[in-house]
Amino acid sequence: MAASSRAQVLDLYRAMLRESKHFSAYNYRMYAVRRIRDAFRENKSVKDPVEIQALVNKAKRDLEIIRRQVHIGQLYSTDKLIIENQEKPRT
Amino acid sequence: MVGSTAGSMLRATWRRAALAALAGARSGFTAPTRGLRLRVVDHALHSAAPSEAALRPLYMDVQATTPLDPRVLDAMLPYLVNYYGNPHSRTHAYGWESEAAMERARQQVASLIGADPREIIFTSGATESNNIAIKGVARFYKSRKKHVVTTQTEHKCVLDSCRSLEAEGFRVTYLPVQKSGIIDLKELEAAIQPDTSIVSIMTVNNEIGVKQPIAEIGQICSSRKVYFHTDAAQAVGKIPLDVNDMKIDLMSISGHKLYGPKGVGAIYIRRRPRVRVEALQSGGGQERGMRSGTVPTPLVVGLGAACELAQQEMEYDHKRISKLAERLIQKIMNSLPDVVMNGDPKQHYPGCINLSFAYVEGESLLMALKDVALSSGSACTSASLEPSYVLRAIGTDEDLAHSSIRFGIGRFTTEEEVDYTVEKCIHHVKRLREMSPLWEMVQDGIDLKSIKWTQH
Repeated sequence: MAASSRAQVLDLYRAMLRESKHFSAYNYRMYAVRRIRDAFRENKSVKDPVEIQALVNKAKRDLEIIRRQVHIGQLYSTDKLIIENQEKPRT
Repeated sequence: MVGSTAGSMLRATWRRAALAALAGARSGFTAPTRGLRLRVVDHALHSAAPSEAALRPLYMDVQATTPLDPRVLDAMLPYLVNYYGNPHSRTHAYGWESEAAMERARQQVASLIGADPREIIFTSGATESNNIAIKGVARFYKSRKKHVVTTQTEHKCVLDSCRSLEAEGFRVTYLPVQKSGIIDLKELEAAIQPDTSIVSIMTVNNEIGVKQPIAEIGQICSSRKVYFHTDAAQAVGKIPLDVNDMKIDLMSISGHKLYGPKGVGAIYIRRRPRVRVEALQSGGGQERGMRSGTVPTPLVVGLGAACELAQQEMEYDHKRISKLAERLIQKIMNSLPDVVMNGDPKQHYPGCINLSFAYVEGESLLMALKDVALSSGSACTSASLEPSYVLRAIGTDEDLAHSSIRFGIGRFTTEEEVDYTVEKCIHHVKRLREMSPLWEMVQDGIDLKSIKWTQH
């Protein structure tokens, strides 16, 4: 398999963010979006292809986790937090 | 992509079905609303704008417990659904796979604290671990050693274990703490006697967040050949801990304080040099005979996953939590006079902030802040109206002890939540002070301590 290209990494990034925004729990949703952004930003300048592939594989596994947990959260969703009424849904 | 459209349609169908089931069975089945009975049972399930009463409060009480990290739940679910074998069944694949998961979890816990997996025993939580450590060690060495040292600010389970040891004929020294909440190392040295078997001092206090000088204490204990136990429930996964660097002989770990499940914990018991412990729970000899009983595989898998996550996320979380804590303290201190932070400001875990608001009653402030889940003092003692013994131990005035609130900031706390909490807190403190005759007197320049209250 060819080493992960910049396009693939960006696709993965967008997919993870898109999926995370569906978390029904406010705290999980905000954490996931924030953590994904910070993690990709932190590893922005990694050059070693082996390391990049390892990070991409981990991200793919995490994307699957997010998908499953978003689903479960929606099955058991409950009322919103007091703060969700007031703030505009930030990206 | 076809897959994702089908996936989202499936999701939507699931959601509709789940909501329909809820609407239909609402009379008997109350799972989603069982949490907080804030809402009046109305037809609010599909209402566009839920009334204020249906919204849940913010969670700022992470010292009491923490939410499960979704990644931890994801690790646990297979063992709750399909891989349900008993890890002690040696004769079939169900047992083997369960045992493999248990040992993997043991390695994850050990790696977080720098221990060997054989030194980790799974328990039902830090309370059980504390009981095993204190009672188990004291009783094993009771023929020659009859003295135990601990502090006045320990968790109730440690103090209660010591009390029960006293009833068995042991002597216990409860070390006082300084105003900062930290013990005096010289007093510790003076308290250790030739027949002291164990010293138990918690790493991070659950009420005021103070960090004890664990490495120095470990050094003292090892030089005096006394076992050192630390209740690290609030510290594991949040600050770096190494049982060898800090010369810790026994350590208690709690699952639900580090985004893991409730009902599980672990105790670290050193093997080199071997610490002998008398088992409290008899049975089939599981966990090296230290703690008989089937090890709950899903729970320990959760604990292991939480520990591994904590190791990866420790630096990121610590940086974020420190920033949020700084923000909370600065905003409150800059807007309100007469606010005291309990506990040493430097030797302190940032995520646990205990503030005393003078001239305001703590319970009324908590009730006013009904939209934020907070606590004054620990959950274990919140039933009684007595001020916390920890605050009394650090020498807080009686009236300030009654006005204390503990703010907890964790991995999932957002800046918006902190800002909201701060805003409400400032608003209500000002409002309550306006109503307080004591505040009025203080504003007029009267020194409250000089007043001679008449006896009626």
